[in-house]
Amino acid sequence: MNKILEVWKKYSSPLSIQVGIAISFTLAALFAMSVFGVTMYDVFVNRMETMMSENSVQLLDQTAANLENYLKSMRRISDTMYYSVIKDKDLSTDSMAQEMNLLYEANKDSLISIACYTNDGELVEAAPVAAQKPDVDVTDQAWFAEAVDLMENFHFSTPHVQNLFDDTSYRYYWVVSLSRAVELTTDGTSKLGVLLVDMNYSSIEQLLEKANTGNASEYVYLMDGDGEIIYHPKQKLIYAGLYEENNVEASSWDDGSHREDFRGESRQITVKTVSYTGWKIVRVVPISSFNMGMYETRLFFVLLLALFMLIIVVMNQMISSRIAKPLEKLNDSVKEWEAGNMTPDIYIGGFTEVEHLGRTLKSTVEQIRRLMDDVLKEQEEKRKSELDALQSQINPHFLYNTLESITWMIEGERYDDAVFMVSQLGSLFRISLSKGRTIIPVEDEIRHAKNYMNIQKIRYKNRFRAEFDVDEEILHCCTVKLIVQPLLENAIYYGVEGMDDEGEICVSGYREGDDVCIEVRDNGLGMSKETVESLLREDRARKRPASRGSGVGLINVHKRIRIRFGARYGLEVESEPDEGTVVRIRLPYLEYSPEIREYLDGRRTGQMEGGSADETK
Amino acid sequence: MKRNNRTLMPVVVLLFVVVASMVFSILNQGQQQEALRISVIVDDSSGNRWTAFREGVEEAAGDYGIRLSYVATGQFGGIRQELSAVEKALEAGADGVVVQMYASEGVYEELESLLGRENCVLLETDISPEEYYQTVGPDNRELGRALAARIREDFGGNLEGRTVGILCGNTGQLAVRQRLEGFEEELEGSGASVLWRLAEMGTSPDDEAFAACWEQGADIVAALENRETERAVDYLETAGGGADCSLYGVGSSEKVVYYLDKGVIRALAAPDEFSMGYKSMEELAWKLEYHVQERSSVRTGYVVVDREHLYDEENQKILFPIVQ
Repeated sequence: MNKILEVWKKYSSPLSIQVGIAISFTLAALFAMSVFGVTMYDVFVNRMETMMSENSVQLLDQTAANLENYLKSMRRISDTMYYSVIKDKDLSTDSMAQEMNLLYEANKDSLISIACYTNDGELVEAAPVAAQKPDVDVTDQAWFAEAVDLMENFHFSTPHVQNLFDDTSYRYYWVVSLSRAVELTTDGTSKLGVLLVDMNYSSIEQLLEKANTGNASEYVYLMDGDGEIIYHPKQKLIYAGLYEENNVEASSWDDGSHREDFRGESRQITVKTVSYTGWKIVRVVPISSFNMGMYETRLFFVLLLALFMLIIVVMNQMISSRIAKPLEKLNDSVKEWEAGNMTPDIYIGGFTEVEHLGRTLKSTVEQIRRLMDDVLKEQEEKRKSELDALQSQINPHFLYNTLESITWMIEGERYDDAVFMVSQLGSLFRISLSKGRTIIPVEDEIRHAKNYMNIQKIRYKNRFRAEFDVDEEILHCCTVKLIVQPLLENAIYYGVEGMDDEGEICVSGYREGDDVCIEVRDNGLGMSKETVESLLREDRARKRPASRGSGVGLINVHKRIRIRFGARYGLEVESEPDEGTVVRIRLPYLEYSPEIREYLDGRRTGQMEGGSADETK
Repeated sequence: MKRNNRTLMPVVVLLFVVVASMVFSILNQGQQQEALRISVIVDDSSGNRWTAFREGVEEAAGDYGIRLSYVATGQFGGIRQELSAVEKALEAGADGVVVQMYASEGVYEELESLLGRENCVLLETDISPEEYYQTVGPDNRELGRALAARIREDFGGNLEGRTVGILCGNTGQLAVRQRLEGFEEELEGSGASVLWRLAEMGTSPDDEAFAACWEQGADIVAALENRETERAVDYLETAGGGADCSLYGVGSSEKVVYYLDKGVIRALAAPDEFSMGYKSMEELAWKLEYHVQERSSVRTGYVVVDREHLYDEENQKILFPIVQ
């Protein structure tokens, strides 16, 4: 049950436009074809039935005509025998044997015998000449009785075995007897007699077999007015009780076509009455046999239907594809856009409406992209201005201190020191400016740091020692400018300035895997763990009032590095109270080149966030 | 595969299958199924007694589209000859055989090695063991009983002091033995005594024994086979003996009917040979068509008719079935 539901759900989910169109077209075509097919088939079947009925009537007319001709010829024989022979003879003197034999010989293909009996059943003459069975009393036989009862008529019997003459070859004959009452003249006296013409039943059989040469299930049979079967293709089986016919009921039907159900079979019955005798010829066509004839037609219908359906399905597929393809392409463009591609290739084509949709979508996408670019640009500008502001926070701070030192030197007439200081300051500012670039080689940054330390050492009268130990390997790597100097400044102010002993500040640089590390180590007062942890928190910089300097040096440096190189980089601080502090700058190992510098300088802040400098390698 | 194609493919495949099967059906319309081939083997196939039977066989062959081979045989000299005819019919490609067995005892194994139950119908007489093969024919015991009943009736139920001679025919056939049993059972208590019985194994006539029987004289002679009835008629007509006896017989050949009509035979028990022929073919065709082995034996009818009622409408239909 669940499986069925799952399958149902699967197939009841919304269809694609192409499937929808294809199915709709196919169903519509199927419906139209079914209606058309059923109507046509119905018309065809009705037409066929009418034709069959007409054929039956035609066949029966033909058969009846043949039978009537045959019976007429038999009557003619009887008439000839009676009017040309019997009426002219006086039996006391004349014999009719010669004429009777002649007549028999002329028609012996259709006749078994001709015989004339007196009213008492005594044989007058017979042809062919044969001995009558000794104990036969013809007056008991039906043909004789009928002829005597209705003297003015001809009487046709139903088929029976002739029981008149002795045939030592053991043969017997099925005959249809034509009997009539005749006037026999003996010694000038007329008396009643019966003329019998026994027709060979096989002649009637042959005549009707001609109508039964086709399909065995369709047949013609003959019966008398009371429904007694005279000829039937299954006559022997009927006699043996192995077959049944609805002849009694059919005998009551008028001429024409009828429908009947007999022994569970529906049949078309056509009846035709043979004139004079009252016999009826019946044609039976089982509807199943008619359907069998229709079987091939049905197969052909189904074949045509299936072929049309196949063509329609394929054509529907093509048409629906043609209609749906532009929409699908447009949909694919939207999906691409949804997937994050901000510059999707929007499909424009297909039908007018779809093309219009495509154009509208394209202009919408472009508009959105422009808006997003504008927003990004604005954000970048904002960031840049923030950076500039950060950088500008350093410059006045440092300049103020240095100029103050130079002032002191000049006041103290230490002109050489002042000159040195000014030259160092000049070098420092040159590097600071770096033609407005933010990214400079480590070498310049270290030189800048050295300049700064030289200035500070003079200012602090060499109360601390500064050492630089930077590996050659990293000198040509990229760095954000002015990141070491704030650390040195902090090392001086918060590390060694308050020491009684000589302070030591060590600047070392080395490569660590794909990173570049620049450490500023001092042996100053150090910091507690909590202080270290809070050092790089932005909120601290805002809250903590600056006791000396700007108080934002470390945060500035940390943020600047991360803005340029990503969150993996920046400052690491290690410190122990009374042991000193190590501040480590971690940068990506990137060889300095104008291209990389340009890239890093122009790099958008948004793209840097969460990324890594490795991406630029 | 796209969903569209997934939906479409089964429909297209289905339509292709329909188109292909329709084309196949239309092309194969004209080709008819190969017709069943059935051989019919009876003793003395051209004999007069088989005329109606043959009509029935041919009628059924026509109705069921069977290729009939009515094997031309003379009088069998023994069971070997008959089995050889069966073997030849099978070698000639017969799917099944309708056979009237010459003898009923000791033939089962050899017949079974040639014919299975599926492709064999026995005619008129069963073999031992009974009811293994399907048999089509009259109820022979009843046939014998009916003939004896007719004798009793003709003699007003009193046969006291009357003597009866019985021409049994080929008692090697179970059918004949059953007729004899039925006949004698019916005669029991009638007062009649069986003066003689002529039982012959096989179909070779023992004329001396035949004449010897007649010489013993009998008030009533009953012939239990068509051949024996004809033989009795011939004896009465030609030898002129037994003029006082009343002859009763079993048979339906034109000859025995003629002598019934002539009054030589007083009454005749005539099996419906047309039905026997038709039903035997119909049953065998059915078994071959549906590969059925077991099928109940079929009892065909018979009439007991005397001279007076020979031309009655119903009797005519059985005794003169052939349109000539």
